[in-house]
Amino acid sequence: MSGALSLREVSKTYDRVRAVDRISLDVVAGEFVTLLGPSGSGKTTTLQMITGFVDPDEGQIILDGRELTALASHRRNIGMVFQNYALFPHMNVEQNIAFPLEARGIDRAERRRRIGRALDLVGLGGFERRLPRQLSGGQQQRVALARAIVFQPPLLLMDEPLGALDKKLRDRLQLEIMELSRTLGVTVIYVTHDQEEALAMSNRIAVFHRGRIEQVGPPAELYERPASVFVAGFVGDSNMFTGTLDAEVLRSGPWQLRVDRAKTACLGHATAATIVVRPERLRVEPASVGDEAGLAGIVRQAIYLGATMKYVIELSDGRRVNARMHAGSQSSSIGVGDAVGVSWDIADGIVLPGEPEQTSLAGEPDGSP
Amino acid sequence: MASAAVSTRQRARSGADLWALLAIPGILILGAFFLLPLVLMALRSVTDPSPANYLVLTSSSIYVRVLVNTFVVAGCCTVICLLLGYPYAYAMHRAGPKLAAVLTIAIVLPFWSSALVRSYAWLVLLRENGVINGWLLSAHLIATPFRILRTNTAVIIGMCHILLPFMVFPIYAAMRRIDPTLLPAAAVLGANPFRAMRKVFVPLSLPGVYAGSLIVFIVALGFFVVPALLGGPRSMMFSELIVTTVYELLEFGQGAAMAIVLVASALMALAVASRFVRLGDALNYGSR
Amino acid sequence: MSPARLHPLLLGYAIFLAFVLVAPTLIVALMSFSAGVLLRFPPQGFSWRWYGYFLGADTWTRSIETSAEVGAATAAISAVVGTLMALGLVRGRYRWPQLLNGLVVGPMLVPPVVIAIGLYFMFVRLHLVGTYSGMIAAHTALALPYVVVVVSSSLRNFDRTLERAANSLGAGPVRTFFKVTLPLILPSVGAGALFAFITSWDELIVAYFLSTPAVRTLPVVMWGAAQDTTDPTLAAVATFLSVITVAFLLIARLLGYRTRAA
Repeated sequence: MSGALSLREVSKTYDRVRAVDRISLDVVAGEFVTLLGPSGSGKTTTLQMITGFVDPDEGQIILDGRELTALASHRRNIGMVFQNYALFPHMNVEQNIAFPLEARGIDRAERRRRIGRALDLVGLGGFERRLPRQLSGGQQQRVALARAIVFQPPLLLMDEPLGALDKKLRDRLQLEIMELSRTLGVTVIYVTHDQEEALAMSNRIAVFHRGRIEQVGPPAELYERPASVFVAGFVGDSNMFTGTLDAEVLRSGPWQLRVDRAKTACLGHATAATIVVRPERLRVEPASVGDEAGLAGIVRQAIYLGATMKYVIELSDGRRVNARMHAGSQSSSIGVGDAVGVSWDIADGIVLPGEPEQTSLAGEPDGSP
Repeated sequence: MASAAVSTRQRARSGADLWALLAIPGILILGAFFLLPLVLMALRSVTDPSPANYLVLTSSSIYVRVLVNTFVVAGCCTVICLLLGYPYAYAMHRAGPKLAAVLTIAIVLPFWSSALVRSYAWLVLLRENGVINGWLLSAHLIATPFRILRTNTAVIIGMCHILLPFMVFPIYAAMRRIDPTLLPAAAVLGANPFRAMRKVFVPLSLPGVYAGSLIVFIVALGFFVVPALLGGPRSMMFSELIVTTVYELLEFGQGAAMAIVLVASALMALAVASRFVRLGDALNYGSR
Repeated sequence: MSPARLHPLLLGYAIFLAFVLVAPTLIVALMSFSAGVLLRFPPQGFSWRWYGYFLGADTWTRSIETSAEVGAATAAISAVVGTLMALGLVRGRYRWPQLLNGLVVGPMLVPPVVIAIGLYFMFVRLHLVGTYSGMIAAHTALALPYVVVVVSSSLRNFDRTLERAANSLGAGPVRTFFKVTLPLILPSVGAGALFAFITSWDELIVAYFLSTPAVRTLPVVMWGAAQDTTDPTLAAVATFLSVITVAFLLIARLLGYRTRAA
């Protein structure tokens, strides 16, 4: 099976800003890998270097043992779905899908056969004569997909392909794209800034931040064992307590929070650290249960989300945490204004070095060791 | 959609489309000082003294010859402006912001500056003891001064200089409307740069080409200043003939008839071409 | 997407053509400062003498005044009427919108000689030949379309929710227009007025037919002189005409950029 992609120490600098900073990534043939990150994190630039729209300053990009960087875009044999689909407005659906086949000199009969199969795969048989502007957003998306796979590329790139669609359609197309990629056995590199989409679709996710890959791993690993405060904050909701690590506790504001020694062994004494707790791992109990209940706080909002309840709790030092639990569990009797205690299992507190980045308004943290 | 809904509601409320009334002063001015004179002239062409005015065109071969020459010159200008203008528009489109600004200014200035001034400049440059001949002679590139003043060549040079913006603006506008991701898309789908241009970019820029060619041709048909200053008797254009008829021969009825013939030629060109062209695009210069 | 580098040949071509487009006017401008009596390039010496002749002669200075007055009046009338017309065309609904659009673009497409002769015939009867009002009326008809085109395009980009917001905040239609709409389209109205001025300032043929020895615009006088001679005074006149045009054009473009930013 072909479609093994390998990026080695790839860098790109624009105007002295390192858009992509020595990125390495190995993708196995047939794998679905998502590049996830906020805008400006370097994921799109990385994609453009794979397609050849942007030349890397250094590093190698290798597809099935072949160095790509020296090849022009049109010789790389990569399928790509663009964010705005980039369908040719003056060609109908059939002509659009025929375009890559004609460029490869494939004869008419074979073109017909392949176009028919590609359209069947995306469920658009019978739309051959339509012009792109006569199609809905979802249909255009499918045409773009058909056009990208019709020449059977080993590698399929997708640049935020579902960004312009509404939520329902997006969910359905997510499933379709996953199924299609499995059917074809094609390797997919998928770019998005939507962490839910990344968690739902990928075999592995590469989290981009400031031109570097912060962590690569399967969705569950990113969620359960984030490698950095940034990853913890970007993938899934989280509550963060920052402070100074001191023996078995983290001093954070008025509190001393206990940490798992085994997990923090590698962190030095008196270093800045953050405890990350996912909302569904927080325990919220009425304050009357006893002093052992944990951090004292008052429920400010209780939001009914169907299967779950979400609570916003203001702790005694003024900061807020989110908690989530099954609606209908014993705690669901808690209401707005109630005094509660918040706690968690030590094992559920993920301890990470450093602090979350401040918002731009607050400026950069000093980061002194 | 939304604005249509608003004006419908307004109409329902006030009984009349108030916005539409605002155009009245403009319509009156254009009606009185543009449309009415043309209508009166059309009337005059058949009443002063009679429709026989139109027969003047058959009275001497000069009229037909000048009319044919006018079409030939306009056609040459259209082709030359297209050949010069398409690559120029493409360069404007692909250039970085600073170069694009320079190229735009270089094309906007001629559009707005006086045809008279530029014809005069070409007169100074092209005449036998003019600037260009002076250079070529002193560089020993030619032995005797060339003579192109008073020929169609000089007229076409001067006209293309003035008409080029009419070609470049619509083509450039059409190029700007092309989604910039289409060329990368064509490349990644396997099309080499030449194929991507031929199959994607050029077809999508064609509306601009049609519009530009039409405008250049129609405007060229009516040129007067350039052929009058740079041309000679053999390169005369129809507008010159009309001015002579009215201003020197004082044959007002005949002049009116000839003016109507010129407008009719332009309208015919317009009618033939309007199937391909969005005229509104072609005329939207000022805002660019 | 990264713009592919412009091919050096194409780049060279474009720069060369840009130069050729500007060069003739520039060369004439340089020659107008010649100290010699003949038009030569490069000019012999430097002097203002031809500008002295030009600005010292009654015929020329009177025609400058005429041109400036006609141009200013044309610009003012065109700006007001053209803005109203653009509002009407963009926002009103008409039974035959194509016909109206034809009327607006007509003066740009009909050969100027034809318009000039038509106006001449009509103005002879109305005794408007050789009058300021006749010249202004004619130039307004020629310049109006430019104002309409510029202001219309700015109105089409205008976000009308701003007006609805003003309405919802209690401003009536008139107040909304003067406090919200007009300030936002004003730069393009200004640009339109400048284009109208330039149209009138450069216009030769209509002015030629409608002028008398007493009332002549600068291009008409220059046209008369250019038939007989190419002496450097004409180079000075041509440069003067161009400098005014270019100055107004640059202001108009600056206004255009402000409109886009708004």
